[in-house]
Amino acid sequence: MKKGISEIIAILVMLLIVSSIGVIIYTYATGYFSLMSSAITERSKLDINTIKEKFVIVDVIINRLSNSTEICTAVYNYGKTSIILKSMFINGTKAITNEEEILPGEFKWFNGTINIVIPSNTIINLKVVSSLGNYYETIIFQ
Amino acid sequence: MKQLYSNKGVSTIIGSMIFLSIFILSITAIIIWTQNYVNYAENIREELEFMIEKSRENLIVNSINSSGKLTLAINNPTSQTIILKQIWANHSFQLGEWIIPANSLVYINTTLDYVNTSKVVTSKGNIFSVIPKLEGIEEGIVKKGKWYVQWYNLSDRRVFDKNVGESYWYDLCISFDWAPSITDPVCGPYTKVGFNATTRIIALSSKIYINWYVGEECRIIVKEIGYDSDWQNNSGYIELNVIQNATYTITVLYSRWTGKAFLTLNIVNADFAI
Repeated sequence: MKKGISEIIAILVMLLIVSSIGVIIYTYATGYFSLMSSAITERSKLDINTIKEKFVIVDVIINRLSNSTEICTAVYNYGKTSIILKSMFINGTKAITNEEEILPGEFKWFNGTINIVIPSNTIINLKVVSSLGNYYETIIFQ
Repeated sequence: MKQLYSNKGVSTIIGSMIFLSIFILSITAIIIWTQNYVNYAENIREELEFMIEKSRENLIVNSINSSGKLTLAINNPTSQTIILKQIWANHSFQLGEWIIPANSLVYINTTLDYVNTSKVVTSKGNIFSVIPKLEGIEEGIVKKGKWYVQWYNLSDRRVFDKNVGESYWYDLCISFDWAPSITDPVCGPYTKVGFNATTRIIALSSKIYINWYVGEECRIIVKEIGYDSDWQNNSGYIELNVIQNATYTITVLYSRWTGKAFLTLNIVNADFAI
């Protein structure tokens, strides 16, 4: 009779241990797979948004001030997703800009200022970069 | 019977359940990953299609001065409809939606002031600029039912230097052949002479043919469809797709340096516009 009770206890302990290990493995696996799935989904969304992002500079106005140059670019978003313009590079120099969001099918002025006076009638390499890393580069002569 | 209710059986069931749960989880995750990849591939395919359609867009844009306002004559020579979203004249713009059907010519009246440098932006992000006017030559003045001809003294081949006079021709077919030794073909001692003849014609068919036979060089420009033959010598012909009963402005430039001066130019399927 005593042997029987200890046998039941042993079985219960065994079951408890196996169940605990099982639950731990299951919880870990659930967490791992859901984390991986959400990461892959996010990455996929980011990649899709990156390839869907399309914009073009349609017009440029250059204002030459006493000790700086302001460049106003009309950027047209012809893609299907909104874009956020982050930065502008003028002849390789990063300009001071404000972040600008442009909805699909719209255009906005995106302005940048550099503390250099660009002489008239010179070639200017202009690059506008979005938050997803896409950029549009153009060469203007003004 | 004793074996059936053994302890081993219970742990096997629990183990199997855990294994099955993890297996189902992993399969679900694989399905999600695959679906994401399929979505990504589908988007890449759509974007490639868009890029192909974008690269197929082409417009020939000409600007017309309509009482100080800008009117655009836009020719779409492609087989796909193109939608314009913006019109720019200098740094001013007009937003809207203008549809340019395939193989057609459309006039767009804008509220913008006329400038020589204007451009249009399509819904697919292409920018098409107005073809700049020829420099050094006055824009042809259009007269009804005749050619308006402005004569120039040349400072070099094809370089129209000094306006020496004007005349009119009343035949749509241009034909002259001066003697080889002639030095004053029109007015004054200008051996090196050129002209700029302009008229408005009406298309009698959907195709216009222009053929020429020239002693030195001639050039044909059809303003509304943006056609420019560039300088041609000897003989040749062109076939233009136009809209029947529409009117077109034709400019013929002729440059004679020292060679024999003759030109025969005939326009088929057209008449003077009245």
